[in-house]
Amino acid sequence: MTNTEQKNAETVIAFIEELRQRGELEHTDQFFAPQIGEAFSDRQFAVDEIFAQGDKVIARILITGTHTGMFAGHAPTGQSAKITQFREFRLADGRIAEQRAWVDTGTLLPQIQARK
Amino acid sequence: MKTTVQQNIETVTAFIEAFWNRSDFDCVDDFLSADYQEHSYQSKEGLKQFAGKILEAFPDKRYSVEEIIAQEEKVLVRMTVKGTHQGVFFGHAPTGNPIDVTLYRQYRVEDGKIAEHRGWIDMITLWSQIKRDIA
Repeated sequence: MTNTEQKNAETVIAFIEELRQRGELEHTDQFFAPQIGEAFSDRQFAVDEIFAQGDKVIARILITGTHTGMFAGHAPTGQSAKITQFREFRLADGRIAEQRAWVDTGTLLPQIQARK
Repeated sequence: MKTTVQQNIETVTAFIEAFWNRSDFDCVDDFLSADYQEHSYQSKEGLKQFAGKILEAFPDKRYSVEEIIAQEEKVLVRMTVKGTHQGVFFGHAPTGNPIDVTLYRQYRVEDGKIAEHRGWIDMITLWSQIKRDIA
């Protein structure tokens, strides 16, 4: 990582912490995203990995919570669930100029489907 | 001279094109290392079987790389897959519905060969596209 890439990664990590404190870290553009905050309680967040190249930074974030509410038609199971989120940023002069977020449901669904 | 990071990006891009778009499943012998670790489909064989199922369900599938970032030996890719649901998909009869889904794949490249892979896909969006009634 170059110095700039290192600084960009640090800026993003600080911003992610800010989003967490504001309760906005689970927000994405996916149609079901508003349900995440209602369906999963005791949410914990960790940045599992961070990529920085040129003006781009992508963080892979792990959200851990308990499935205590309805999610995408799935009744609460009380199971602990691990949710992977990718949050992408473009920086300009050390500031965040753009971001997009996406949450993985391919590994989430098998964790919250009722045991048959 | 190309940096290793640039070469790794080219290796991953070429693999996605050959394997996921041209459905040349035997290309795993060229692209994947002998000790390849597959975290999403169990094994090299599991990867080929899964790709075969996707091809059956969405014969016109097309993967497009929308973002790619590399760091040391790792390469992370965001892409979309578009296609038409023309075959059975996990027990669901063909609907003729179009799909357009985002996925991420993370690779580790070692000495020019892909040595590790893990993938993530938005299955809720995919199921909503398959199950919706657009007739």
